[in-house]
Amino acid sequence: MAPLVNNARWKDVTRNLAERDATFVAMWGERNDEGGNVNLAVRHKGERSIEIVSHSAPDSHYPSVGRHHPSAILMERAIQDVYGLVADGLPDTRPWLDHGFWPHSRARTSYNFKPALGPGVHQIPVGPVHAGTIEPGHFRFSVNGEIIVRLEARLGYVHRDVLGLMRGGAIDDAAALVGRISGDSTVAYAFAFARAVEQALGLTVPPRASTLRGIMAELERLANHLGDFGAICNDSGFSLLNTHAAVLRERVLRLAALVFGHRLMMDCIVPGGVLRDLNEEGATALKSGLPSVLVTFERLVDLYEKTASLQDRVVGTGRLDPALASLLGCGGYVGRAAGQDFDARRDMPYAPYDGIDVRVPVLSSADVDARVRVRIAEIQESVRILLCLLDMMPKSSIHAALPNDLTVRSGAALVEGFRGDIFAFVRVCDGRISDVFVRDPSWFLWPALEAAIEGNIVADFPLCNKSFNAAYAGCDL
Amino acid sequence: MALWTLIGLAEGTATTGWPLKPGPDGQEGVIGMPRLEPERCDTGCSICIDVCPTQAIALAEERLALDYGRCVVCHLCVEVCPTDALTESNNWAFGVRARDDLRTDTSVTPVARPSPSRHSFRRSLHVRHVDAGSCNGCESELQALNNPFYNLHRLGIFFTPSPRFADLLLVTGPVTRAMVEPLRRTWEAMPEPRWVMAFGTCAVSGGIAPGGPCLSGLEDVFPVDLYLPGCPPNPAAIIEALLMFLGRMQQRLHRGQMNDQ
Ligand code: SF4
Repeated sequence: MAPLVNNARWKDVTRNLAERDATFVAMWGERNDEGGNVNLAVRHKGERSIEIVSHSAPDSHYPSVGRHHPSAILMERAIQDVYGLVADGLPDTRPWLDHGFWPHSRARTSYNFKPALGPGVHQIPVGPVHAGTIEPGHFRFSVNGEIIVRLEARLGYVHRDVLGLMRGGAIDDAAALVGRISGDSTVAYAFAFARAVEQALGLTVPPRASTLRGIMAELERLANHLGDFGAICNDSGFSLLNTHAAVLRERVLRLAALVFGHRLMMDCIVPGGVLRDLNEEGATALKSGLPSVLVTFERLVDLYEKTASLQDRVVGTGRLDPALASLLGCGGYVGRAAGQDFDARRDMPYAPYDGIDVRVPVLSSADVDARVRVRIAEIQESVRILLCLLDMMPKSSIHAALPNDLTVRSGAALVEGFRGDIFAFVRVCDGRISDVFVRDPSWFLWPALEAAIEGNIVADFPLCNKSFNAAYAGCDL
Repeated sequence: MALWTLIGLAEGTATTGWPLKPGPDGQEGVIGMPRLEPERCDTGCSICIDVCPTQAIALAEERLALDYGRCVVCHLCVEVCPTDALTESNNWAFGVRARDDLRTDTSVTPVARPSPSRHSFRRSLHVRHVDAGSCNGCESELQALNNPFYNLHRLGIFFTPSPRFADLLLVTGPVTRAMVEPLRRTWEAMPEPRWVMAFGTCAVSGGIAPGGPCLSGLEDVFPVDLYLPGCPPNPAAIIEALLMFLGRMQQRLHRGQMNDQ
């Protein structure tokens, strides 16, 4: 599993990516005495595992993957900002996370947005502070009348260097940090990180712990999808559905608090297992609470489908070319609404999903409506999986102690979060983290959003944006 | 649509009467900040100090002291403590006016900034939120305030889309360097009198990410009038803190001790 420096293999893998025989998963850098290494993770077509290959960067230079495959561009820009490793041949060398405020900043001039020229084209700058209670980022719209000609997102405002803080620290501390990279996906992050650590240490988690992890992960998916469903309707000017969906979301969060002690279930999953067990009352609360959420939700879906003014806003809006979704490697509801038939729970199964048949909704219309409908189907599926897991509930301990291992070991995992698959890689030695990387699905959603919005009107941006719901903190790290 | 009005009427009111009337606050089961009883500590063991990811625990004059302004409620310390000096609690109403009220170390005297004059806004409050590097957990709970259960508007508290008519600047995150300037400009755009709130442990002290590309919390930019640690603070904790700030509820934490403990 340990990524080996193999420059020849790197070339092959880059060619696989360029020829579309592999899906790009992640790229990250590390510094060492000789300069550094860059690691590349890919998923080969039809395979159930992830290959990680490294390239040396002796004078801080390595051959760009981004010049052959666009998904890598943002990450290579970020690698240059954070690790000072330069991708030779990278088509876009502008700083990404770096805004010019760090001691070693390379961003010395103001950011050069890509030009959009033509008669009547003008720019609308938005952000980083937005009108709503959301995360910060800057959007530069080039518009012609009402039509968006080009959108460019400028992120990096919330870069905290969480990975840097994790490196060198104890595994438990790192687990607390990883759950705070993107709060709305805290369970999925902790799950991915824990699995990577367990793979590195060759540890098998007790079955009850796995089942509990599945329950937490599905509750998180449910709460977020319900929130998104309402928020998309709200941005289409239909607040009634938002109000009702918010009630359902709150009911799920309260169930999570009642059962696991934290509304977002932070710090519940740790390497080795889970910290919170489910008691009888908790199981009963879930078994009665979840189906009733679904009953109300079905009524909301009915209203969503029958409201012509709402359908008018969502159908055909913000269409993402499925070929682009495939090229970028978009996962989650964005990918699945655009024909990408992938779900880590089914296609790279891990406990507890290996014992369950996970049904994955796939649509092809790739508009806002399709992204809503994928969420609707996933909400229904999540409740089904939850009830299934609650029935399984094996009896065992919920945590296994981590073996203390003095050798250097590494592991990786892919976990399906609500936005899409989250990739985690760790290298551990003697109970400490020597290298770590976690890749949010949003890395691929932002470029997809930029493309999908072209030709739409400015007033439809909030709606499209919400239907993607890409995270800022998750990829600013 | 008429059907939906009927359904709504049939389902009744979801909104809680709390805190105006006694009743459930909706946080059943939520585990709060750890409770520290230093006298139960077997001196010589400092596992909790080592394990805490945010250096919230320290020795002050050979006694364990906890700074709730740094605590991210991960419970690692509770897990490792062999003598139950640190235990789970249901206390989460940790909104305070003076930073030192979040410290159990009694050698410091908490001093709050001058109270807001009630004349300025009576019982109502307009809040402008800025995310300066949070993980979006805080935003998640802030958004929940508008759901029918909490229905913040009923209390006369509103989130504004613009700083131009806001009284309180509510900031989440440890404050990344890239957000300092946008934050300042937001504050400058607010009319006087204006106040500032550090929301969530990251904004109070830097939380999980002090230093490097971040500052160590909001105090590095502005004097802060209201602190609410939590990771993230739950909706009821937010409501208590805002009402306390308006003088409509009592502050419950003093010198690191809960009143009702
Ligand atoms: S619960 Fe708070 S004090 Fe205890 S280890 Fe976690 S952050 Fe530190």
